[in-house]
Amino acid sequence: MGARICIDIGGTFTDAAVLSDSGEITVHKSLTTPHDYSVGIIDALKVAAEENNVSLGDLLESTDYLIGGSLTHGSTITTNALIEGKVAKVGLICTRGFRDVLLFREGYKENPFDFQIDYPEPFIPRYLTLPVTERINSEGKVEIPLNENEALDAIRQFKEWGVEAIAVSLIWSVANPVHEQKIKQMAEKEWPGITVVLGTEVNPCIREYRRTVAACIDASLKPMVIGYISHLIDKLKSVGFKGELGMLSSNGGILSTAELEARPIYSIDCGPALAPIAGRRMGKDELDINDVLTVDMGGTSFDVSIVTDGVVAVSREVKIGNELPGISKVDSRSIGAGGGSIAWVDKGGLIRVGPKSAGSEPGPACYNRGGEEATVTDANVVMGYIDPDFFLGGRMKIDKSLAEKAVGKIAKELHVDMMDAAYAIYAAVNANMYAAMTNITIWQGIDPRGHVCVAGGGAAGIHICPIADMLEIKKVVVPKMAGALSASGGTFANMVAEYSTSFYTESRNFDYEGVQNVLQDIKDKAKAFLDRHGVPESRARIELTVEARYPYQVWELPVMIHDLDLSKEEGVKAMVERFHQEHEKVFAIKEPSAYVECIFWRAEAIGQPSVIGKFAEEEKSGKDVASQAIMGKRPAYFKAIDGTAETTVYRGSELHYGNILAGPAIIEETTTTVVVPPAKKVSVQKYGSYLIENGSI
Amino acid sequence: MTNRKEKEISGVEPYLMAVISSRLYAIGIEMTNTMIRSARSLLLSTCRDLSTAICDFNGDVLMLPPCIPVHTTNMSLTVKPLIDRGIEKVKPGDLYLNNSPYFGNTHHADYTYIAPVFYKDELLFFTSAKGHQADCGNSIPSTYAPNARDLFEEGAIDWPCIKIQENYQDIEDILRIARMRIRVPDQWYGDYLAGVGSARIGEKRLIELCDKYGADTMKAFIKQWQEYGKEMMIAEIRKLPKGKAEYWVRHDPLPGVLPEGVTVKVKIDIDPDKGYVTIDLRDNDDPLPCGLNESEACSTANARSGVLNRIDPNIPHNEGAISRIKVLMKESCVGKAKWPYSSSVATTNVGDRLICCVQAALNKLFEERGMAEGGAVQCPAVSVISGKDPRRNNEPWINQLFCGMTGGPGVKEHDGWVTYQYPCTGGALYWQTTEVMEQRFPVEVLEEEIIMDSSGAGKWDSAPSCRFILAPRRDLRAPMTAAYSCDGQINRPRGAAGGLTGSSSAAWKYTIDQGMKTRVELSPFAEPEIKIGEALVSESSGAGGYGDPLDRDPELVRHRVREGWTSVEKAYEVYGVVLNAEPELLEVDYEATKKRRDELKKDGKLREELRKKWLEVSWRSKKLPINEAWAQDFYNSMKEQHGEEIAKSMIKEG
Repeated sequence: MGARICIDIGGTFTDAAVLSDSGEITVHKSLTTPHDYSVGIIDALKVAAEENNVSLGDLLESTDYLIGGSLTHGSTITTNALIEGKVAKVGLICTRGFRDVLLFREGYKENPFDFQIDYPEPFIPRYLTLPVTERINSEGKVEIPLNENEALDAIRQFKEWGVEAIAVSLIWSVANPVHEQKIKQMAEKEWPGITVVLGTEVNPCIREYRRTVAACIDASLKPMVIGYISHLIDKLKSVGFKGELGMLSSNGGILSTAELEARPIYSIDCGPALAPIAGRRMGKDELDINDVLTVDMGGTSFDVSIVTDGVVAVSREVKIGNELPGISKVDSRSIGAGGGSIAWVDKGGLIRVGPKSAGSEPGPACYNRGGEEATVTDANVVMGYIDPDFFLGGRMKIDKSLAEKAVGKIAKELHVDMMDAAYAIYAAVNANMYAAMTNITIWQGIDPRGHVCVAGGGAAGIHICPIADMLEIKKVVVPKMAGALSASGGTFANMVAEYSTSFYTESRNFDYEGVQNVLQDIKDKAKAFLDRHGVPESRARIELTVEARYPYQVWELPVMIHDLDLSKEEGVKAMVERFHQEHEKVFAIKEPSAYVECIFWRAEAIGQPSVIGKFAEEEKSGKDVASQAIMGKRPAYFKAIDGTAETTVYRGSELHYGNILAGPAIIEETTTTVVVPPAKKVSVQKYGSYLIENGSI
Repeated sequence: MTNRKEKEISGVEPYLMAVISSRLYAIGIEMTNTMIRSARSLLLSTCRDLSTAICDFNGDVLMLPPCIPVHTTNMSLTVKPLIDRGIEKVKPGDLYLNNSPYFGNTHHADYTYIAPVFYKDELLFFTSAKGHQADCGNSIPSTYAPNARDLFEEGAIDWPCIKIQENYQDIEDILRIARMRIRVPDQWYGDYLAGVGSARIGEKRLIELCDKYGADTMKAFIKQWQEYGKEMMIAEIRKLPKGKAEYWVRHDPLPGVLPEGVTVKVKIDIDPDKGYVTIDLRDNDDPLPCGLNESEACSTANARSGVLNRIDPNIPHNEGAISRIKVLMKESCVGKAKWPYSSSVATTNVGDRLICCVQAALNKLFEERGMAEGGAVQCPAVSVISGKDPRRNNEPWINQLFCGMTGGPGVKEHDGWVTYQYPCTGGALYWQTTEVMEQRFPVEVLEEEIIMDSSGAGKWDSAPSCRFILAPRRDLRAPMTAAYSCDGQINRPRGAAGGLTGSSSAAWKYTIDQGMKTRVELSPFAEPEIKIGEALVSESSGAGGYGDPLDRDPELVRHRVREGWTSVEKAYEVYGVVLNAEPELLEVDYEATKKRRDELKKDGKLREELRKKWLEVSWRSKKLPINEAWAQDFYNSMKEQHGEEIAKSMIKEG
């Protein structure tokens, strides 16, 4: 049996989670290295090897898929690049008369009474959007043939302007891709080696804006992702890796590198997509609770996602910045709040934190890497929450005097003393995170009080208790592997890929043959995906869905069809009946006499891993008070007592199932720190998590 | 005992206030989402010309999810007829339909479905779901009838808040009436189900909420929530300066009906001490023999929107808050609807002008959140189009388009919002995609792009205009009818704080094979048939700029030039920005720009001459006027607004 390793690159740290063949998960951290991420990845693997007492070569060998192992990788590199606009220069070829599809988007302004906002610029500047004369109609017939001279001129113009990729997205290409394909051939001939992405390839949906922006985003990421993956594989091979690297995707599954290179848009937010998978697991295994709010606070960002009744919230309507490419994606909300978030005082004299982050270079002032601005981490050092000598288990030294110097500047601007300034930073970042959590819960009509909050990320254990109090959440779980929650979620993720196609037919005049062809095609693609990844039939599943609607309706509802035989009348009848039921469930009404229009057909290929990850269950120690784990005491600031208390510090590795301890306390884990305020108690759960509740012992 | 109970329910814990208000907000979102996703017509399902509200047992607005401003800050007026007629007649399981502008609804095309919500036999709430119908049975195939002399010529069925469901079952006779009087009954019935579903899902969720927190807590919440809204609004009004202001704007003439157009006059009085803003509309003219009359609901909401646009947008818009903006009116063209005068076009046109009038009037009192006049509306891009579809056995189809219309005014610190569409929607409408439109209807979009040099220039520009060209599908040989009410061809939206006037709108057609030189001007308020081989051209109105264009950031001018929104020539003549015109590496010549700007600031005559030139360039209606009466109206209006010289030159061209 092999090991499953998942690496997640955050803004500050690169995490590695190792699920051994015995089912034990360990997590390891190293600094993220933005100049060359592979350095941080290999550093994290080295740490993992060292902390598991094996050589790096042996560790990598154990990930070979032939023995059931895997090495997977996720990040927010592409998300950050998109938000910061640091993506490839893309030229877009569109249908003449439609240069402003990316400007108009789908309209809408969230608050109709708010005019204090700038209209967002189109994803591709208009001067890089060149029209060609051509037109396909809604039935796929060519109305105006492609003017090849214009297409050639556009390609040459882009070559002259040095674009790094070309996106081609034409009106109704989804009904007939012939012109898009022709332009691709021409571009590849005229400019060998240029990346060309077609609208029909990325998101073959009806609605030109979503299809176009999906193609443009995909194109803008492609040079970066391809370069990144090939470089990473070279580096991994140089340290002894021989297997296939798996890439995590936006929908919480795993893809091969080739699949992701072909569709880099699915790399967006692939790191945070795994946090709810880990959170769901923890909620279920530790407390048998299926409603989980998962938060992940790292160095740069704070991500929150929700699991309701055991199902991770996934949506095709998730915006990326200002854009809506309409791809399936785990619904994870992110704000710029983390240990590296920079504190500042605004013109009105108010303390503000973020969204600017010091990242890992230069990092917080206390890292002594040239950062001079006060960050959340610096405030936590000043308040005594982070031990300068035990940061990352003591492997990284931090300088408290530099933290004090930076926080001191804020104190001066606020006209308060050092500790009050540090607390102001702490409280301000907590309020930002509270707002993000209400956004995904209360504002969506979900009462969070019955949920368990699983807090992951290196910094969450320090901040989660006051935030949970604001939300009246009664149970907080900080898992053992909190420091690398997403990465540990990745060790038991499935292989997932989606294949879809637009095909119109009506239930009253059902095109049996057409539908069979379409289903066969997407099923073949799904099957081929599973075969390419060596998933045996016993662990493979293909789920088929049709998106259907009533006549004149515009939005579709998905209906599962993999158990229906749509080559027969009864099968179609059953599908229509299922649609009526689903419509009534979702919208409170149905119209049984109406026929149903079928629009979009989708196959989801799911391959389960050979090792179903589980956590190592600890033996109940029998000791209620965790005296064996006490490392000592240090002063830490708590608002509840409006001052500094001598606070007991526990060594996490010495705490066992059944141990109970009371706040104020600090628990030191190698990858995270848990701050337990006064009037809270902690009980260690069977898989080693810390459950924090109100009360005393 | 009574006292003790009183005390218990009078206070809702702060945390519970947050949870219940959020729950109500989420119920509103669910109601809206239900209507959007299950509706049949495009204008509900993709453009979201719909709104929902939760009202309390007094009929007062309690919670509004984000929606269309003209639909909602007046929803209590739409619900009130139920209370006025005797609330004891209202029973659980009832559902009411109100589309009557004479009984608190906006206009006939907006159907409002109202469900009373009872908890243990006690009436606690109303849920209401309002949606703009694709067709409401008008005499012309459009939900807007600008030329209708009265209700009878308008032709829509008036439903003065009548019961359409009892015991949760349809009253079939009423639905049968509707089916006979609507052009595409199945589409209408689908939208009916969506509206009813929306009101009913709200009812169901509210009952669940009562189960959880109890009726007493909910009643206490209602009281405290209205009080909270009131306090928030009073605090906001206290930040404004005390003072009075007057302003007017004019809607274009209707050829042969209203030679003068419609003048909208407002008087505003801000009283920070008492915490009220009062908008007096009583100086406006008597009801007019056309469909442009405002209704009470529209006058109320539109006047309020003008104020709400200029204050903190995050104040909860419940009755406690919005009732601090008082609207005084009488039966007039900008006031209450008078039966049987028609208010067919009450939500838009004059209503949109009213919003612009109020928000611009406030420029006279304070600069904060300053706004120019927004775009004039209803160019042919937002036509109600109709015809028959040969792809579906010649089934009739009808629907309003929402696309191709921009119009965001220049705002202090921000350029205009591009997809603003109507002042009365505040940008909240969605924008129809070409593909969904073409899949549904046998039409083809030939172009949808912004027009260069069409923005109202300012330190902050307005949004540019949009050209939208639509043709019936030639291969299907099915003509289409397009009904629109194109304001802004003459009375162009004015700028503010030194910002300039926006471009005019235009409506014309041409024969596709022979090119745009075959341009034929169309009447501005009409429903022409567009024949096979012809194309309908819509050019939307610009809006006013805000602040002096000579103070605009030169880098922003450079950016707009590179993007093709502004020409190098206009950059030089209006913004005084000198650019080195290399296509990709366009750069600002700062030294030359400073010199040019100094020159334009000093030489008032030159500056005004150039501005006049660009004002003429942005007259989009090239071949006006189209008949004698129209010519005179046009000339008079032009003369008044822009001087004799321009008026004469325009007449000559025609």
